[in-house]
Amino acid sequence: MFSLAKFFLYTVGSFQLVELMYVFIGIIVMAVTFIAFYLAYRTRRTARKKQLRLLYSEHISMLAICDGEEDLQQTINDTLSRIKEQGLAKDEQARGVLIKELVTAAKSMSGTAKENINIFYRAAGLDQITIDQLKKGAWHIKSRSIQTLSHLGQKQHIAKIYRHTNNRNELIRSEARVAVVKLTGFEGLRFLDVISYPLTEWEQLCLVHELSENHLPDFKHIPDWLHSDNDSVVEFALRLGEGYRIFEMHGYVAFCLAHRLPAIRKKAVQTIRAINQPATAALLVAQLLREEEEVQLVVLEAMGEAGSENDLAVLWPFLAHPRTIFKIAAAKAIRNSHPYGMTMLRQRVDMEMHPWHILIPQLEEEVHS
Amino acid sequence: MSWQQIIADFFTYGILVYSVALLGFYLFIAVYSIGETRHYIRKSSFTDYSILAVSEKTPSISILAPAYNEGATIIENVRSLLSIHYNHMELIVINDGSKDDSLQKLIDAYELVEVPRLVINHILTKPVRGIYKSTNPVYRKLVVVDKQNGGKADALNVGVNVACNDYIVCIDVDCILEQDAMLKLVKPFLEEKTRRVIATGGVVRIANSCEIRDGKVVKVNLPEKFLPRVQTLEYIRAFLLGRMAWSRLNGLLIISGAFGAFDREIVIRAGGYNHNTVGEDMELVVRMRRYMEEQKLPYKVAYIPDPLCWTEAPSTYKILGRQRNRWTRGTIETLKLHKVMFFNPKYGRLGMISYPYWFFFEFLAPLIEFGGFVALLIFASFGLLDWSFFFALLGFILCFGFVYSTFAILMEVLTYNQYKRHKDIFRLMLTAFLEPVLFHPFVVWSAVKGNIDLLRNKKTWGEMTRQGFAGAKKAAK
Repeated sequence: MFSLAKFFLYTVGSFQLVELMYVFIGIIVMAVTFIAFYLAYRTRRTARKKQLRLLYSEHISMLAICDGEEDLQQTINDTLSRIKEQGLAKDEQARGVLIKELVTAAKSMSGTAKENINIFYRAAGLDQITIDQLKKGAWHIKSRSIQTLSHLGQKQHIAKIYRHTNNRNELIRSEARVAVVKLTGFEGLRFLDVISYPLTEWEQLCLVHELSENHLPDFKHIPDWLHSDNDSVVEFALRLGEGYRIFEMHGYVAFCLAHRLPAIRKKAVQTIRAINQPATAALLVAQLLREEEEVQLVVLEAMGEAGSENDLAVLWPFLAHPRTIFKIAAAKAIRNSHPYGMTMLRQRVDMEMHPWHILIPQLEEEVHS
Repeated sequence: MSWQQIIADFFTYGILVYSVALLGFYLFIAVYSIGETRHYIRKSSFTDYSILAVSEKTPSISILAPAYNEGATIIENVRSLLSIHYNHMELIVINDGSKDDSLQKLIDAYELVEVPRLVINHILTKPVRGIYKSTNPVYRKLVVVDKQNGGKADALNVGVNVACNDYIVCIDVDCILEQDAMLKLVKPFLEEKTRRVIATGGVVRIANSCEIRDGKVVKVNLPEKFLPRVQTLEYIRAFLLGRMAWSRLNGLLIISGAFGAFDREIVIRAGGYNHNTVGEDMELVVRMRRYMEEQKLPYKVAYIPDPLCWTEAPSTYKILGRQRNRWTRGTIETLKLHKVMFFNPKYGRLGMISYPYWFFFEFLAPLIEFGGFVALLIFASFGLLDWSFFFALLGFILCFGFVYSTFAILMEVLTYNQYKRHKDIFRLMLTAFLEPVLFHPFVVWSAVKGNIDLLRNKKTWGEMTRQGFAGAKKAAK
């Protein structure tokens, strides 16, 4: 232990253990003091924010109910002068709260009320503040600025937002992509022609969500996207085809059944199932015969909906597949493909044998429920 | 130099290097976690999770809730789980051969009937006795599986086999989830395009003394009793600092068994939960990671700092001791099962950083600490101790620990600030001050006992009696 003591003290050098303890105690005292001040500061800030929110919600309610240009202009002027009188026009925190309140209001409103909020936002010059943040801010500030502009319908800034749709930062580009679609609907999707970064599942969900909100569909670019070098663009185009049931896409989707990626082929099978046409069953049969197991399963599921009684011949062999999951999928496809599918299944399989002694009652029960 | 001197120096310098490395790691974890937590909070500030709640295209999830003798609270717990905000989900409650009336209570309360269901044994399990679904469409998301008793891991494996969806969420049936917990937990799976997210976990918080109404935490309070309170501090340190730093490094080895989501396909390919260990939650994550490394597939284990799940912490030393004993045995069993990865460059960061960290600083730390205490007694009794240096070193270590806890509290205040009253924060500070005396030695001793029990081949979980949020007592083995 003496050697440890000597070694330790020697290593620590001028900063001896006791002195280090003082440093730690100093840090603790500073941290505790900071926490105390921070908690007090936060309490005060929260109280002020609450007060500001209350004040602004009154203004916003007045703006929302304005009817006609004159009335709106008068209310905007009154609101701005009152904000100025209260010394809040140049207060950064107050401006932040006001923008947040406007965004919250715009999210929950529609029609004239929402338009009035958007006009006020511009008239108060708040859009310029947001644009400055978009230019100079850190990634999260830029992302939030893009979101603010889109929620408040600031179409005049679309070019500034659009240039971020292929931004190096994934969160900025994600917000920009969603924003251009929010502002311009299907037209905004033109970024799909040029983007080099992939669209994540999350982005795709957000885009579909935005498109579903009162935007008139425009499908003329979808065939181009199905040929994109960016695989995620192909996937998204297929998703659109599936979601909007774009029957005109059938031929193009069939082309995707030969895509090099199994994930895209799976998506293509799901899409072609959704836009079922007379040619679909034959396409699925051909696909089933040439596919790897991972995709075969999806094809079998699709055949349950898009298959016909003429395709049963290709399904029967799957009842003897070594993997139970294929037996189940094939049996379900047979049950759904033919009016007497269930009866035929019962005749074909040995009801005493596993898995049929459970699977057949299960398939029957599913029909009844 | 005599051989006694060589041995003495070996241990002396060895422990010195070990201590410096341990403290260094703690410092690194504290600093490194800041970036990850800050990034997540900034990202969340403009994320609209409601899209996941309303979208028709959200991924489907299967929630697996194993239950053993939970009759006292099972109805309320299932009701709480059914009310979670998520469209495409099924809730699979696995009755692991309970000896009480859990199953009958579920049948009566949720109008269940047995249905024919073929269960594919992707993973081998104890036999399933029956599968039940509700005749009431309100409970269409509920599936109850009755099986022969086989332990928690076996019950979860049955759940994996029964599940129909791509993602599974494993939870303890008595945990309380935040309403948006699933939305937040699922999102990381959707955010990666270049690598596969195989698992995600969220922060587990302690619900003792919190106000709970209708299966929801309505008011967060700091636990009144010392033991749950010190565990609150411990969880803040572990989740807000430790796991966030490891998440940033993509080196996480554990996702809490109380609440975690997994990619079902990878779970099956990796072989499911191992029912030969009491640390099945950690073992599964390690095995899934090992599988991905061996297949050379890019992957990620994600962790989010949001408090998503609330659980009841042991409030007596007896129960706490059993829990820590089991955690220790689980850690050692997992490390032993995957010893091939130890400093094996083939496993990348997993083999070169995560595994060695757990070996040296999670498994060995309590043993070394205990050895140090024994040595202290021996040296002291022989009068070989330099008391002034001893007290300086002790003070240094205690101060370091207190600084670390203070930093964790500071992070909590700056981020989620669950304990809003000033009084609570200062009670947490006081708890941090008392922890080295009233809590840490006991945890070390429980870990040592865990090692001894493992050598004796003890495989049981140990009785985990809980008060229950409704005040009812229940036991889980």
